[in-house]
Amino acid sequence: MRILLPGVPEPGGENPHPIYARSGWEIPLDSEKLPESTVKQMQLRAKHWLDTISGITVRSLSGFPYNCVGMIFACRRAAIDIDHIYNILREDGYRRIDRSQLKPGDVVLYKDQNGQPTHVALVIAIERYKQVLNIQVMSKWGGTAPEFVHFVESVPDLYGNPSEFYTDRIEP
Amino acid sequence: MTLNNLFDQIESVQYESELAIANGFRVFQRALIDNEITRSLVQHLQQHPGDSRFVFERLLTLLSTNDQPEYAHPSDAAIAGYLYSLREVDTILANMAASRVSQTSQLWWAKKLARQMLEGDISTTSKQFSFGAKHGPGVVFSSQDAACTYSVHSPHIYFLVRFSRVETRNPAPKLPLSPYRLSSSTSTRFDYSAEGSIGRSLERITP
Repeated sequence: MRILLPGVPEPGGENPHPIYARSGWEIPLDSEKLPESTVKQMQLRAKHWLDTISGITVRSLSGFPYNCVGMIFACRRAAIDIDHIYNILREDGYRRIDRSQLKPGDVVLYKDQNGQPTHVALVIAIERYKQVLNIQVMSKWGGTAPEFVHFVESVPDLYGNPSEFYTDRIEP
Repeated sequence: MTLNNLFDQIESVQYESELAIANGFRVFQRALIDNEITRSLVQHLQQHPGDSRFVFERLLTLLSTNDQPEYAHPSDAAIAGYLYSLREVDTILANMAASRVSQTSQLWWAKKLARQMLEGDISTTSKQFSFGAKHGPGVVFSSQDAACTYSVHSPHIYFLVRFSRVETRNPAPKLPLSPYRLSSSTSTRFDYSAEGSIGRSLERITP
């Protein structure tokens, strides 16, 4: 279910196809498909965030209608409400780990000041420099904004903080 | 700040970008409510209630402005901002706007907000207050979703509410917090001041 590299088929049809977790549970989707943004709209949003938050790079300017959850858990095929994230993690067989145990391929869950989930990101690199652990992630910011590569803390205020960490690795 | 300045800000790339990153409707609503520009517009409209009409007209103008109808509406966030602001200050205009927004294609967040207003918010759904024929002090008014008791001797209108969900953003001062969310089998009774938008819409049924 999880995709790390580009080359994913384009979504087709007016309505999203059913998307299933590894357990066979059907992930709830909106009956309507998120409208696709124009390239110009995506470029404007990308520029806004590149000017606002330092140290981030645009991974993809894709206008295809998916969000952070769809990027990681649905092959970039749909925008899935973040409120379903705990069900998806459970049905896909993820388990919670400590931040220090993170490896590329693991998932970071962001939560706001009220403890509500706001965003997920995929760990793509971890660098330890002296005592500092730099965690680089990839995530899509909303359904109609670009994919970014960024450090785990470099996100808009709306997303709050990286709060929980999950893996589906078999080994510890 | 003038209303035109607020229009410029709410239709800016910054506003659109900051709301477009929401990954769910709950997150979007929080972003909308907490946004400084949205708050400034609501504050302006509270101080200048007559300007609600201009916001409504601006919203209708944006609704009809989509140069590339096969793509997402470019003003989705701005329309949602106007809709939310209207809901805070003028429920009648907000209802009219929500009805138009819900019928416009290629909107995402604005349409979700409009549907929430039309389907789930008693304070902004005027049709839920079109009561039956029995008027009079202390008489229960029946409707599809709610019942209301009204007394000419009281400064308050009393609602007996049976809703699967009650969410109101403009509570009267005496409205207790507890009835905000009710289960489908729950009923409650609370005071609602006759002032404000609800009061105005109910004047038409006053015996």
